Amino acid sequence: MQDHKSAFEAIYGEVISQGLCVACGACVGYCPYLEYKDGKVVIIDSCKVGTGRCEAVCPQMDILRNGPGKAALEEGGGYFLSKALPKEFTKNAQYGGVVSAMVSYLLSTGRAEKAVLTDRGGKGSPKGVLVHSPLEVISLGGSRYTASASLSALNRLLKDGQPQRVVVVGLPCQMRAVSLMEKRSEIRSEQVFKIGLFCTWAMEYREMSKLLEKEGVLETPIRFDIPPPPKNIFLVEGQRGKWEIPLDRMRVAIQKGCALCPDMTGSYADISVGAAEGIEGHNTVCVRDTRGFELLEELTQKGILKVEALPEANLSHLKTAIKNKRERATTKLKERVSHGDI
Amino acid sequence: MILNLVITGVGGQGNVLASQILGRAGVKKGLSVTIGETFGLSQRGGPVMSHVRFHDGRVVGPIIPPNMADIIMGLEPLETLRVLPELGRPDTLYLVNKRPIYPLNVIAGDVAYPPLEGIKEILQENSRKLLWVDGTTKSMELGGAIFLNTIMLGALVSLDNFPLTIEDIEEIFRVTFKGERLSQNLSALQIGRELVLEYDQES
Amino acid sequence: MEIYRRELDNSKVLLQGNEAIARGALEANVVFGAGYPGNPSSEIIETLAEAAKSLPIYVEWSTNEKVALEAATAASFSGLRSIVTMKQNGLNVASDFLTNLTLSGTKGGLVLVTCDDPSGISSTNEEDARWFSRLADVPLLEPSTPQEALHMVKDAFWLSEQIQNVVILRSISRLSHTRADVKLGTLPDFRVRPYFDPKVPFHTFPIVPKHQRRHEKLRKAKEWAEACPYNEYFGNTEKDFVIVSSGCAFLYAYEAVEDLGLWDQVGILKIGVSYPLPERLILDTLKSASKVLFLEDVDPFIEEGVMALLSAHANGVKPKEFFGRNSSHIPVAGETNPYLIRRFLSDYFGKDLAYGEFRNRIQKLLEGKVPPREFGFCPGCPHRGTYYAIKKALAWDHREGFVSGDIGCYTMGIWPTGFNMVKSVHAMGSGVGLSSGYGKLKELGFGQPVVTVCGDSTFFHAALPAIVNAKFNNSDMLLIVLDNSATAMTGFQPHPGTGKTAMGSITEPVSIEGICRSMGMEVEVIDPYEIEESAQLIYEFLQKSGPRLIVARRKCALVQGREGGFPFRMRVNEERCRGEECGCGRYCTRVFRCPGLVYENKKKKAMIDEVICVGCGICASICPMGAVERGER
Repeated sequence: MQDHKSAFEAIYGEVISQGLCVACGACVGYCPYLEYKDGKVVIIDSCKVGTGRCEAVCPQMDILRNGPGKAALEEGGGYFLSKALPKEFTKNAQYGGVVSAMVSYLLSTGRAEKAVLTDRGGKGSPKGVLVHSPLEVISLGGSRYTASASLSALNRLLKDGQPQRVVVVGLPCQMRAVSLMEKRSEIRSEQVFKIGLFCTWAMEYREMSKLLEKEGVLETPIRFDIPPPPKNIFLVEGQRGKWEIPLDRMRVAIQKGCALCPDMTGSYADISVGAAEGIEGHNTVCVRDTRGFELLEELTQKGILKVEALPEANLSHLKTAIKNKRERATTKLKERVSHGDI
Repeated sequence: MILNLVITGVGGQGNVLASQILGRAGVKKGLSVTIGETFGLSQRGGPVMSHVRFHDGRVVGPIIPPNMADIIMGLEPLETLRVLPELGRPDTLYLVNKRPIYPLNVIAGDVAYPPLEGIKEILQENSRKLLWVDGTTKSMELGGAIFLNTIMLGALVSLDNFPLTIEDIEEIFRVTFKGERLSQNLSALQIGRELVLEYDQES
Repeated sequence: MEIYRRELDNSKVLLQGNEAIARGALEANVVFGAGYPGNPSSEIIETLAEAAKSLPIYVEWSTNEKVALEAATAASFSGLRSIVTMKQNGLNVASDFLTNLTLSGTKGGLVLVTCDDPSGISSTNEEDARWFSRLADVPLLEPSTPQEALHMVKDAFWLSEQIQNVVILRSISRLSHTRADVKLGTLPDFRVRPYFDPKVPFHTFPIVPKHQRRHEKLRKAKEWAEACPYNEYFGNTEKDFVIVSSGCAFLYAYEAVEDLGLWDQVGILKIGVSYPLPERLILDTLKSASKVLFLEDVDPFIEEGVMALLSAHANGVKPKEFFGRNSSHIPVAGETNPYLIRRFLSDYFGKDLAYGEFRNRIQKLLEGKVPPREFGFCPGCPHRGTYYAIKKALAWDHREGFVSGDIGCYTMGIWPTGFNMVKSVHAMGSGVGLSSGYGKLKELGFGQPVVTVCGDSTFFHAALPAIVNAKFNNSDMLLIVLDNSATAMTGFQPHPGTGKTAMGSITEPVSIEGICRSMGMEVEVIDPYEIEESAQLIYEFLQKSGPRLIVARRKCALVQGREGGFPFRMRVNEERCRGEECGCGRYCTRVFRCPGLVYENKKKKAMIDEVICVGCGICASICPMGAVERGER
């Protein structure tokens, strides 16, 4: 008799059925039991394997069991203001085009053979893609505001053994998941370059689509944006028009699991990138390790990135936001513990 | 005179055809025959059983009464074991093809297929005689699993005191099959006969 | 068996019960046969259709049983002899016409054969169709052996013409699928002169006199029943303990009394005409009996008839103890079998059952050791692929969707072989009717999507009115027709979509898509072997509204096997196969469950069972590691 839950029972019982899954995709694409479809990680069949990878790489499970984890920026790291200089990177970019520039550079210099990115969706939700051409990277710039389980693309690589060198661009939950994969020696740290994207929450694709339809968006949008407060709107841009939707109307689409996430900047990434509030066409960049600094320096020297110090006001805003998110998540986690949900 | 023969196996093994051939040969020989067949949903991979009763014209039903089988011909070991308590008796003779066809719940790992040696032992200890043969391998050698039923028929009619002979079956084959099919089936009958002869020599 | 060959006249041959019924009909100069396939009745029309290729008779598979009865009745109204066949469920379908027809009466002999399925061996119920004879006030004959079936069919035609009404002949699975030596009679010349006399119309008006007339006909039949050889008493003259029995149960009872040596204590009254009962014979036989045991399949039909008869004549009759289904001495449900009869008689008369100890000992020895053999789709069956795709689509959809099912091989969707997808199964076409209802529940707050499945033959049989209903009421119904191009369950009979008739002539196929498109339904066709694409299309269709159709089209694997087989020789790449490890967990054998793919416990790898695998190649697309490979044959 098995007295402990199977991995699958754990991830299903504690995360998925509780509505806490954030569709990072860490468990998707590796086995036939879990799949991602249009915003949801779904169960195709139940699995009986006792100790399983799905449980071990799930970032939400990690938070539930081990608490909030790493701080946003540990000693030695730094925040910068940056933008890509070549036009091709800023054309599609949400803000400063820094992510596209970095990924493109890593691929073109052979430091990464493949990049794990998110496509634009179309028939359904955006999904993870494996990209090896720098040009393709450029076409995929911009924020999606939905979870897309893009790590499933990384899993496709892992299934066939360790990939040589790969760059993963993802949300904080995904950075945590990749670090859990590293801990399991599925992939060596030096083989994977992690670029995090700032995130306070992501919407669930189906809910978001339903809301957008209600708002009259009857096409697949090209671009989304949430301008800095106090505007409080969700900007949608499509082929046939632009929509300004009050952000509060969109909030019901936010994934329940995001409330549990303490991490706004992708603390487990080598470099994280986000908006630079009030400074158009720029990104905030958070560098955490030597590899990150080296890359930033190289890109500056080659004239691909312009890097400067992050203005004090931005820094203090950012730090408050980081702190608030961590505190909210910690409270939420405590609530769950006291309710006996965990 | 009455001889109660059970043919048991799995859907697709040619159980029904085998019983039909036996029946036609029996009638041709002037015997009265009653054959009861259980199929339906069970055609699709489920158990299939025929009750073949050769007799002298008395009132007989299509089901062999409890524990009244004289011979049980099993095309599959588990299906043979299954009928043992209901139809077998201490002096029943068993002719069994030892190649298992795994039930889906066994394939899925939900339940275990009983060990073949165990099945063999139980049949041996609770019967007059057990002939435990590898008909499937012989059949595959001949060109596919479809000859199993004919090989087993060849073995069956070669048993001592069986009311039909291999020639009786051949006669039916000659009006049932043509060309290559006929020659293959005739060979299959002989292979079956040899299985029984070899078996008797070995033991 | 080529039972229509004149060389066989007067010879003894091995015939199946159903073949004997067909041969009896031919000997009775039947020239028109119609039916709808259904176990255990199918072989009657199949046999007649084969005969029709050499004899001047007409035979058809009709779209359903009611139409079959109607078509056959046209022959009767024109003075010809006709036979119509169906299974017990089919008589329900035909019954609307039957209860009207028996008021108008018939002309040429019309015999309706119902083959019931006690224990529901291949049915959705074990309904006893004999009750329809009472409902329609027509005679009911019950043969026990193929030989008797042959004779009875001939007499049934004669009787039908005597009373100018339908006669029902009732077989059961056990008899229909019994083979026995049968002495044949001679075939007639089948010369007929069909003529409908406009001066003699057939309708039910005026109703009350017609109803009275129907009962007069029944009285006439009763007179015949009193003297006919199908009702007969066997045994001692004392008649103290009498078994009243019909059909195969009579044979079991006879053998049991013989084997237990009970002839000096027990007599058997065999009933061959179960309605109207031979009153005088029964009263004579049972007058002085003190115990009466009823053995029949399935309901206490004769039992209640006899009891009613005895109470109507209570004055001259000795009080009795009754044993049967009503008294629970015989189980109220399930087929009557030799074991339960012998158990009852041996207990009652204090006799030992032969080998009872052996039986008990072996039963104990084997307890828990003999796993049941789970039903499953054949290797290569397209339904496995379709259900797999449905399962995926419903999982993706994530709104607790389910499948509303129907009858056919695909009923097995209620079991693991169909991933337990199907959540309801009842009558032919009922899954579709149910779905037309579910499709309206949305307006009442129902949020679950429903997929309804029906077979290609079922589509024509009874699904059509439900589809029209869904269209008429604009119901959110997603119908998937599992088109394997045959009535596979019952033995590959042709249907309106196949382009071939029962007699083998070519006819323009009726297009399932065409019908639905003409109603304005959105229609797509998928290939069940292409699992991912199929799942994606089903998923997309789940998001749409209104009535819509997907045709999942692939030939039945058994038909494909006969027509040249499959292209692949499958193999498992053991290096890639993950077995029980994380990332697979025996997915193919544990979940997909194709009988051709087994698990090698020692190696901990999947393995192709070469004896079983047909080489369809579906499994290659479900293996998460791509370890199942399609090689060339």
